[in-house]
Amino acid sequence: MRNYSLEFMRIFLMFIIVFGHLNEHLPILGKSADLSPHSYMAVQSFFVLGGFFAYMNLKKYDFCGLMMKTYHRILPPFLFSVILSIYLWHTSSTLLIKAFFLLPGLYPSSQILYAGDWFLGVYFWLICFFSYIYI
Amino acid sequence: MTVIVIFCFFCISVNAQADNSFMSTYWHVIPSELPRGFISIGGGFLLGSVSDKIKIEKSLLSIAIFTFFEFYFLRLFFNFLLSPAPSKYSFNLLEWTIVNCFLVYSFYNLNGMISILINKIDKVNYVSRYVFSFFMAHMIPMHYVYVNKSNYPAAEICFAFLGATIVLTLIEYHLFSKRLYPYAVAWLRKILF
Repeated sequence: MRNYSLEFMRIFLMFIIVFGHLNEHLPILGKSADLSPHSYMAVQSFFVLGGFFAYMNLKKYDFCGLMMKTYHRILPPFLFSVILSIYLWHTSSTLLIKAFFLLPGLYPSSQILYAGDWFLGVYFWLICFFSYIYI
Repeated sequence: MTVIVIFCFFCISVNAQADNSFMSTYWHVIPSELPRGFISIGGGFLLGSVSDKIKIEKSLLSIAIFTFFEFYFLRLFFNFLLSPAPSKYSFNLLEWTIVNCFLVYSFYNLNGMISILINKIDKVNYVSRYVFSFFMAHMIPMHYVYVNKSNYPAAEICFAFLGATIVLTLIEYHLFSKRLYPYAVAWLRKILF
């Protein structure tokens, strides 16, 4: 049976992150209800959730299987975002290589889109690290 | 044990006030996002292994304890949300990680009252499949706003931003992730192997 409460938690956290980003650059709600600190907290929660599910997935997949699954889950939407950004906002096409290896967030000034894409690189490589240690 | 001690020590060393200065304090101590992820993903892994070994039977006491943690999470979260910055509440990364771990455990095993109630909303499935695409799609208009340091009226930009994000989410999910990408991967496999 599917766990709807965890799905709900994902939706809740994601909306907080997106609205936090929105409010960070466009303070629509004013400083009295600034969502930016909450989006940082939501990211922490998202990481905990990600680590938990990665551990659970290790029962179903081996190390390479889990990495491929995670990579295939992250790459298509990220690639789409980067390609569209390059096309629309004329950013450098060399960023595609960075996106392909999921490097954002791993070293200073490694972000591509400056809107939370560091999360993907950090998430993928840390899942890789912890799964490797666990196995 | 060493890992746990290092983990706790590290969490305690980065605790700060709950306003915007939390992250500036964090970045002042550690100028990278990697340790933040390390703490939380490590916490998630630790939680996974603990929840594998310890199964808590559902009883009135366990439901009461986990309901307390669920409300504790909401208290921490909404204190930030409702209080004007700089907030008087302090933010502790260790506290936040522990409460999160209890919350995820509670939501996973349906131990608390809130998780039991939320689990009854089965239509959430129709929204949750778009969540990841929504996150990715918001980066594109966000990138534009960030790069151009937009000075347009905030409400108009907000509507444009949300509209663009929703349209891009649908395109990303239905067209790119579900159709083009699998087709491209299959085609590449056919060519290469």
